[in-house]
Amino acid sequence: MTSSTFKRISNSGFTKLALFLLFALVPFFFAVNDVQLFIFWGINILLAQSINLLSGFAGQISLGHAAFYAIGAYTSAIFMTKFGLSLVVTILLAALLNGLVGYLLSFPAGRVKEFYLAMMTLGFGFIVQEVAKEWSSVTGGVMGLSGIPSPQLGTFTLLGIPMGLAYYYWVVLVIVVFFLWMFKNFVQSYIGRSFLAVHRSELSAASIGISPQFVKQLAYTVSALMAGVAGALYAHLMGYIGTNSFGMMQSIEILVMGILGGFGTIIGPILGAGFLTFIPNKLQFIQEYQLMIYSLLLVVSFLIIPQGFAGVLKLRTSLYKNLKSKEKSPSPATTVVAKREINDLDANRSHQPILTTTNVIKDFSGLRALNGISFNLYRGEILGLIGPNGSGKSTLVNLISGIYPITSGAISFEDDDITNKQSHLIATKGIIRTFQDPHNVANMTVRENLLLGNHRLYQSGILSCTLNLKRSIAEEQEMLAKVDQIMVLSELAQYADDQVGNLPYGIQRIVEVARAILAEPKILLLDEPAAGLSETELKLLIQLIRYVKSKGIPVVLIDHHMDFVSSLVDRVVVLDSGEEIYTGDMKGMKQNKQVIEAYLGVAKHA
Amino acid sequence: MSSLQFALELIFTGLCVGAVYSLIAHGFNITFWTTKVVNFGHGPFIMFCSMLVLSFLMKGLPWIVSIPLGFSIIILLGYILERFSIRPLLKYPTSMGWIVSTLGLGLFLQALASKIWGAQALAFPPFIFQATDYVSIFGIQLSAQYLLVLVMALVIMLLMEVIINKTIWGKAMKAVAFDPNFARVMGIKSKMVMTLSFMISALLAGVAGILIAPIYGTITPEFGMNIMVLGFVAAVLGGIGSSKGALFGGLMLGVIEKLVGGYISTSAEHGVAFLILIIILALKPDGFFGVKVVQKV
Amino acid sequence: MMKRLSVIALGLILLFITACSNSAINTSTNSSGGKKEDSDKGTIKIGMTSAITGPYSEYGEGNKRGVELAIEEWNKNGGINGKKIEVKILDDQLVPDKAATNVQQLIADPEIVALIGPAGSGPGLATVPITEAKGMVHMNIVPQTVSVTYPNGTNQPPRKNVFSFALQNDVEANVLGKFAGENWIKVALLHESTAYGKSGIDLISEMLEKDFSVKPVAREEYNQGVSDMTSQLSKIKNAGAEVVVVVGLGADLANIKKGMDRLGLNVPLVATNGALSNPYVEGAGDLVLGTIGSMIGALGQEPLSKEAQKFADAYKKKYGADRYWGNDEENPQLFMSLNVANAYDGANVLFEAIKNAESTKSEDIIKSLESIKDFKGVNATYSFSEQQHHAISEEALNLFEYVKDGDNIKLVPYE
Repeated sequence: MTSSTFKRISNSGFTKLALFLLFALVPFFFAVNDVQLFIFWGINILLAQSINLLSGFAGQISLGHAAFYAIGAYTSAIFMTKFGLSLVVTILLAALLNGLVGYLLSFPAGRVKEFYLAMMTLGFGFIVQEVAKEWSSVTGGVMGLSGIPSPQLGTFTLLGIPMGLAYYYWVVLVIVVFFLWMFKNFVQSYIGRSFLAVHRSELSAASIGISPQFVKQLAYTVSALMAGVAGALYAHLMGYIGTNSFGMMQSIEILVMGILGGFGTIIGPILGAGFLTFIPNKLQFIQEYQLMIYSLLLVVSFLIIPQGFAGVLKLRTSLYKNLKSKEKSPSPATTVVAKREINDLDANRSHQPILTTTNVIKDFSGLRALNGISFNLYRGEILGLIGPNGSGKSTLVNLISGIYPITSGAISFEDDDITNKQSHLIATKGIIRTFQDPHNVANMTVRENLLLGNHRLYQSGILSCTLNLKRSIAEEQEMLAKVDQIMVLSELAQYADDQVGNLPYGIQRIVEVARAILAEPKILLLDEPAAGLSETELKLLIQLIRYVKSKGIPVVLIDHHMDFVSSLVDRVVVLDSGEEIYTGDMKGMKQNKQVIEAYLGVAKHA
Repeated sequence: MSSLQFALELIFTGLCVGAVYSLIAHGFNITFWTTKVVNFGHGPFIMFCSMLVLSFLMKGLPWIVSIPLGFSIIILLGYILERFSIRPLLKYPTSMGWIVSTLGLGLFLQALASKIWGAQALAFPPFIFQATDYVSIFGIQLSAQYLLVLVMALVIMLLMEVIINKTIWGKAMKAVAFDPNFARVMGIKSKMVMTLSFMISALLAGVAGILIAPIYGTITPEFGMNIMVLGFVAAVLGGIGSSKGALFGGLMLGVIEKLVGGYISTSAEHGVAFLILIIILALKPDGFFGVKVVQKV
Repeated sequence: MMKRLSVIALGLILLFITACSNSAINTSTNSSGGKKEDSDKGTIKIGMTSAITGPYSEYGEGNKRGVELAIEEWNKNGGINGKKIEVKILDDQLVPDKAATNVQQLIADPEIVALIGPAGSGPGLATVPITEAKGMVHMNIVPQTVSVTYPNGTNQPPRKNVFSFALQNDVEANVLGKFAGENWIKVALLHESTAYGKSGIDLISEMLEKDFSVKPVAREEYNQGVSDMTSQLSKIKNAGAEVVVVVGLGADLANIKKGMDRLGLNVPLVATNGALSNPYVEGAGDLVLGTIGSMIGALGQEPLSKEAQKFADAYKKKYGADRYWGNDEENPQLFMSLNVANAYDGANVLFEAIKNAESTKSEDIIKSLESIKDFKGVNATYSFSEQQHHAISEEALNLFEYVKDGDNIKLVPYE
């Protein structure tokens, strides 16, 4: 079976319903202990997806996830045993409390990266375990908490109905399916895509208006929330919880489920969770060699399947929702309109500055990179920013887009002072940039990358996206239509469903420019967009930039390619060693002595 | 015992205990330099080497034979680790699979050890010093074996600093860390440097094993995993990749632990130590001596 | 299309409801019992979950050997009323989740008539509620926590189905607490930060205050496997303790003793059974002198009782003088009482009860177990009643101390 047929079959509603019914039948086929394993699988799916969201999507590794699991388990157990609350309430409490803890953790955790983050979360895990151990009046301390109503013991009721294990299984099944549905909606929304963008690069995410901090806060909160539900389900399954169940090894096992299954997909962690639930149990027959075989499996599985089960099965979760018919491509009419617009070039120019830099100075550890740059960018114009290597062009763009703080001076945009504002806030205002090397998300398709460009235009709330409310779907379709239009314009339609990382360099550049255009910028900053492009790609790029101009959007263009620059720009600013040496039109520049000396002379010799 | 003496007692033992963490933290740095990967099986490596040496000793072999034998096997394991569970995975830097594969090998060594030697604690004979040997400093008696570890942690730090800054090997490692492909162009055998770094790291695990085991007196297959975690914390506090950081982070962790144990509560020892870790990292996200990575645009 | 599918699905459901007698639906709604009556195939099957692998396998593997030894002996003598005994052993690595899953799996096997329980308090507490709910006989071998057998304290009735062969915490604590209270006034307490350590020290502390009006001068805890106890011991020393009472494992005791020596804290060390284990002796070396520990005395008697001798001979014949046996070729080490002999006794008593009951129904076995009187085992002489489901009492415990015997160090009963 090819992966596409597999995908088609697994995506059809009929298959999903059949699978759900099949799983609903489990208690009729299997003995109690197996049903219990299935329940564990369900709990582990929630855990695996929880870490998948945090580490796989948002890129924040966690070695302390068992802590969230523990908080969920204890909260639900304590509220049920001490206050007699129903599972419906305790599970909500567990989720909410966990969400709060996750939110709080995101503040220190958001400041550290990679290995440091791993250690911080490891520490968090230990602290929670220690608290559970020492706070014995509430948690039962090292003795653990017994007497939790449990379907295993026939002491568990839900809404007044006594529940056996099979009924509990169905409860878990419904909860897990519901969460998977929400999870899918979530990651396929603009919020889910923003997670992957932050994972790829916080810098580039911020450049299209995604706040890395917000993404992290949300990731920790939602991830903790899911783990909390898993913890609550676990506590009531077992009827007894002890601190030993929530140690470092549990955290690592959760991580292994996600990694082994394949991060960044939905099916992968489900399989990973299943593997770790059933395999150790079914390895019983090898008795004392069990641990050895199990650990060898961990080592070997990565030699054979380095990207987890999802990698082997070539499963990829698409990151957008196309709930209307698939055949919807932009009508030729829109294309024509788009092309006609391009001819209307200078209609929007005006003499009102939209962006002003005043005496901007930037020092890098004592070295002056920019010395008092002041220029205006007018509405509707294309401004070339040129100068030899190291003259400070890119630095200027980095200052405008808020990546580096300014040493002194001011930058204002439409009467707002944007000096030293956070990068994503500047982007949100409409100042969008591209980078010298394309900052696309390599493992996302062209279409998904382009949708990222639309990020700042989305209005739907998180809940609306998660629950697939009509408004959010409509909005997504609207954005998809815009993407389709740009794809036609930039001749990317043929690559729409290819992962960007696998495409030629030139195409990746075009994708990034197209992505920036989709953000509907008020100012577009292009940092050497033509570098490394072929002739045809260059033509395409010029066409795109003209399109932008036709929309009245001013562009700041950095490039070395003189023909390319002169064919587009209205005015130029020439920099040399951090000094502004010329401002004016191209003609004047070519006659300016200082420019010829500093730049053209060098260029001719090079 | 006066209160001053009590405080000194805690600080000095804190330094000694911290030296153990430093010794372990040094082992993480070398592989981090070359591959940005840390061996999650380092703890079991420590255990396995000390178990090996112990079993050779019990077979009647002298120290002088047992230790090189143990070291050779552990270095071989380091080679195997790099060759089979690191290198194939470096192609997929985002998969974080190396955590699982290195941990998997560690768990395997644990399982293997309990199969061969049982899960019961085995006594490790005194090495160089007797368990009861101590040195008096300011009227405080410090275990000689602990001081040996402290000296060793210092020596390794100095050695590492010299290697990384003054030798061609150090430069090769730096180059490989920066960009393996570029280093290859420059004529450095990147792969060999990586493999070697794992072998040296394994050797450091072995050295730590035979120095620490006599302190614990008894070793179990679990021994190693627990102290490895504290070694991690030490490495991170100091700033991973920094030899000075490993030493400083370890000592600091040890002293904090003992002071908390002495003045607050021994039951809070670990909890408070980890809380401090979180606070310090929140304030200094790259540890004390970590190199701040400049954002590349 | 959908309609037809749902009809088929409904049909399937009905089919499986009627067809699957072994499914979760049936066993969870039916009460237990009934199903075992027809197990007259000529075998009697018991189930066991224990830490066969992992860090606590010393107990699990020992228990397994004890049970297998007992089964071999019974089967050699014709089994129980002519039926051979079989055991199904599952590994839980002392992880509560795994133990609970294993117990469910064992219970689901209709042939299994009784369970021999896990090797630690965590999995013990996680599994007894399950067997209790099913009413299945559960032999508790290792977990020392009282609430495994007596959920509401020893003066309240025990769980109906649980019979304990473990050295209960309260028993050990009573012996140590009484000993400390009678001999010292300034007592310092030290324990590991586990259920075992904490509940043990609580009981000792309570007894000291109640029976002897002794308020401990210090109370400290440590994590298992920690190398240095300076903070704890310094505080104890500052408090002027005359004795240190410890609840913990042998390897940690060795480090405590070394720390005491270094800090010049030259007072007696009184400890739980860990003080009599190999790791302590090997780890602390000559420093063990003056240490007093409590332990089931059975294997420390000279000569051994008839039953103990028989057990020792059988073990040595099958496994040789291995690490469970200890360093003395002639005599098994005391510690075998806690990892092999206890399981051996548990299995023997269970089989005796099944034999007497001439039935494999849970209720009958329980009734038969409760009527066991003066059954001579290795660790103790066992008597159970409706109110008493544990057998190792204070009389079975002895205090032992390390003394110098020429160049060697010997373990002798404390005088």
